[in-house]
Order: sequence, then structure tokens, then C-alpha cells
Amino acid sequence: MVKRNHPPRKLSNYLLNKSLQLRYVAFVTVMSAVISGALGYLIWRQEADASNYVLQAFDAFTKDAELRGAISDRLQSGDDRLILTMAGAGLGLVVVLFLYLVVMTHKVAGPLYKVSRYFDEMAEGKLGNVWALRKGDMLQDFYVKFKQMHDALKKRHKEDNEAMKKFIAACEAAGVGEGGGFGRELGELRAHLERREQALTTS
Amino acid sequence: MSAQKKQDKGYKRSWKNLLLNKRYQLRFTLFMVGLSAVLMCLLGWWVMTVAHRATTVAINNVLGEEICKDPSAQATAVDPDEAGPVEEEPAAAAEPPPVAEGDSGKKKPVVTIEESDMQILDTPPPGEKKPGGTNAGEPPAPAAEDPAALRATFEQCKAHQSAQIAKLEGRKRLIFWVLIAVGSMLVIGLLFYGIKMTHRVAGPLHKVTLYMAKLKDGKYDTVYNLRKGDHLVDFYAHFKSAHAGMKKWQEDDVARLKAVIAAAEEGKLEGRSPELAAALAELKALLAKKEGSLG
Repeated sequence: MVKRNHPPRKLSNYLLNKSLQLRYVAFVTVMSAVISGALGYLIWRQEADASNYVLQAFDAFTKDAELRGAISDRLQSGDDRLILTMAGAGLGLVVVLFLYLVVMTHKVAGPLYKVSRYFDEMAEGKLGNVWALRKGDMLQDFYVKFKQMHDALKKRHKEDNEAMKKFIAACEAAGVGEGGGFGRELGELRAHLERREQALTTS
Repeated sequence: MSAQKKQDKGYKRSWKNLLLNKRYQLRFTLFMVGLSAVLMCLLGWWVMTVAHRATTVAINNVLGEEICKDPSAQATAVDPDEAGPVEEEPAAAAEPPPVAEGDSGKKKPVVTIEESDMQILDTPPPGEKKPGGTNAGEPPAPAAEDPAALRATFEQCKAHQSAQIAKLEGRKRLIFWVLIAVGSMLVIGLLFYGIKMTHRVAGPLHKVTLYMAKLKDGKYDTVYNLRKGDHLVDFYAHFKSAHAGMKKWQEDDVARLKAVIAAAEEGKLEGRSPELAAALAELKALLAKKEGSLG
């Protein structure tokens, strides 16, 4: 397999197959957000209950409004800080997970994108060179099979060209095909062969 | 068209064939399952911590609300070493909850935590009855200082406490098992869902791989549609175009070779030279091969 220097991955190119990638990314991210959210809610409830408990216990012993206010403020700020910390951690988890999954799915979408482009070339009748996948890409097995198929088609294409060339050369050596019906057909075969040759040179 | 419909109908998803591309499918599925398992473990650990704390508080509450007085211990001023944990525990827990007295000496309510939802409830001070008379489930106070009646009351009280504590412990165990069941269901559900979801990608890839193997062997069969619900529809469309492109080469070749061979035969070129005859024979063989590949 011919190797060449690949362009570095660009952030904007990471979502090559949006429907495939976002479906998986969204599912895992939402599921993690729900579980983390449930965990965060429980922690917050526990903390809020503990704060209420402290205040109610305080009320049971004294009626000092000023001290109660100070304690309440302190507890409230603690609760608020906890909410912010948990929201930040949850958001961080979701963002990191999202980015990680986009990169992970890109390793599947990348090879598919690459093969799709080769398929497009084949659709136009072209059989150019097939380059290696990037390091870390997934679907290596699939790509190997694609390359084997592409190589086989190319080899057969070349063999067919050789057979046609050989026939044209034999006709020229025998001095036939300069005119008449056969000459016209031979001219068509030459043009056809030229197109076939071009299909191999284009990449 | 009808043959294509028949073919499309013929292939149904089977659980046996779900893992078509193990490396890809398991990687994505296990990542999803592993992540949710970790999060569920954290959640479960937290829930169990809370449940344990709530159970402990509730047990202390049970022991504190209902102090069982052992008549024999009261009568003989028992040695603390002989008292045993059963008698000792309530005594420790029976330490009266802090009761504040204001300037007027009026008692204020103390707070206890209700075990099920960690709600804080006003608890009447020890000795004070709850509204409505006797607390539900509590044994009635003995009418007289009869030792047998006191012993019976004590046993009844202990049995009641044990039942309450067993109920609380049972609830904690239930929470644990519910968490295990929910976690397992989530993991198994995600495992199946993940495999099924990735199968919708692996399926089309598998199908394309089969067609590619045929192309490699020089067979240009008809390409059928994907199954309903399969992903990679666009990718498959690209493949179909590629297949059509390669098939068109074959059809063009067949048409061109047929025309040339017919013209050569018409002109009786085979007799012109042995090289030309050999090249023509080779061309005919190539035509036959190409016609065969188109099916």
C-alpha cells in the first residue's frame, strides 16, 4: 500500500457523517447527562436537607434571628457553591464526552468518507490509486477488503487493456484496419482503449 | 422490481447475526456500557451511602423513642459487663435527645429524621405521648409494677424494636437489590441496544463487503437495497454508483468487443496472420468472460 503524507485532522472536518456520528454521540451524551443529573440531584437534595436540618435544629434551641440569618446565609452559599460545582462538573463531563465521541465516531466516519470518495471515482469509471488510512482509523478490515477489490478491478482493467492493445498491434502489423467497416470499428476500439487508459491515470 | 422486493423481504434481522463487525460494534457498545456502568456505580454508591445513613438515623430514632426497661437489670443493678449489647445499645441510644429549655423552662421540640425520605419531623420529648394517645404499634404501659408484667412488657418492647429495626434493614437491603437490578437492567439493555444500533451500521458494511468480494472475483451482480432501518444509506448509494460505474465499463467493453469481433469475422481477418488470429481468439475469450461476469 502506497503511503503519503496526510493532511492533519481539522476540527471543522470532524463531523463527516453527521447523521451517523450525532446519533451515537447524542445518545451517549444524553444518557450520561441523565444519569449524572440524577446523581447530582440526589447530592443536592441531601445537601439541602442537611442544611434544613441544621436550621430546624437551630430553631429548636434558640431564637437568635441574627445568628440564624448568618448560619442560613452560610448554608445557602454552600449549597449554591455545590450546585455550581456540580453543574460545572456535569457540563464538563458532557462537553468532554461530546468531543471525545465526535473524535471516536470520526474514526469510523473518516474511512467511510474516504471510501465514498473512491466510490465516486469508480462511479465515473476511474480506478486511480488507493491510499492508506490514517493511523488510529477504525474499519481497517473493511478498508483492506475495499482495497483488495479495487486492486483486483484495476489489475483486470489493465489486463483487458493489454488484450485490446495486442489486438490493435496485431491488426497494425497485418496491415488491416485502415479503412472500411472494420477500420471504423478499430478506430472506435482505439478511442475506447484510450478512455480505459485515462481511467487508470486519474486519481 | 418484484425480485428485488422478494430479496429485501428475504433478509430479516436475526439475533444470531447481530455481531457482524465485532471490533467496531463491541468497541462502541462497551464504551457506552462501561461509561453508564461507572456512572451507575457512582449513583448506586451515593444512594447506598444515603440509605445507610438514613437507616442508621431511623434505627437510632426507634431505639430513642421507645426505651425498653429491663426489669431484672433495674432490680439487681447489673454489672455493666454482663448487661450485653442488647440492653446496652438502647441505653446508649436512649440518651435523651437534646431538649432545650427557654427562660420560662418550657420544653421545645427536638428534631428527628424520618428514614424513608430524610424528612425532619417534630418528635415529642421522651415520655410525652404523640397526639392521638398511644403511639401506633407501641406496647401499652403496664398497669402495675408486677415483675411478670414488666418482663412481658420488656419482651414485647424488645420484639417491637427488633421488628422495626429488621424492617428498616430490610428496606435498606431492598434499595440495594433494586439498585443492582436497575443497574444490571441498564447495562444489559444498553448492551443489546448498542449491539443492535451498531449492527445497523455493521450490516450495510457487511453487505458492501459481500458485493466487493463479488466484484473482486469479476461478478457484477445486481445490487439490492438495504433493509429498512439500516444506517449508512448515503454510503450505500455511493457504493451502488461505483458498482454501476464498473458495470458500465463491462457493458461498454462487451458492446465494443462484439462490434470489433463481428467486423473482424466479416472481413475474415483471422487468416491474415497467426498473431492476429491469436489476438482475435484472446479478444473472443475476453468477450465471453465479460459476458459471463454480467450474468
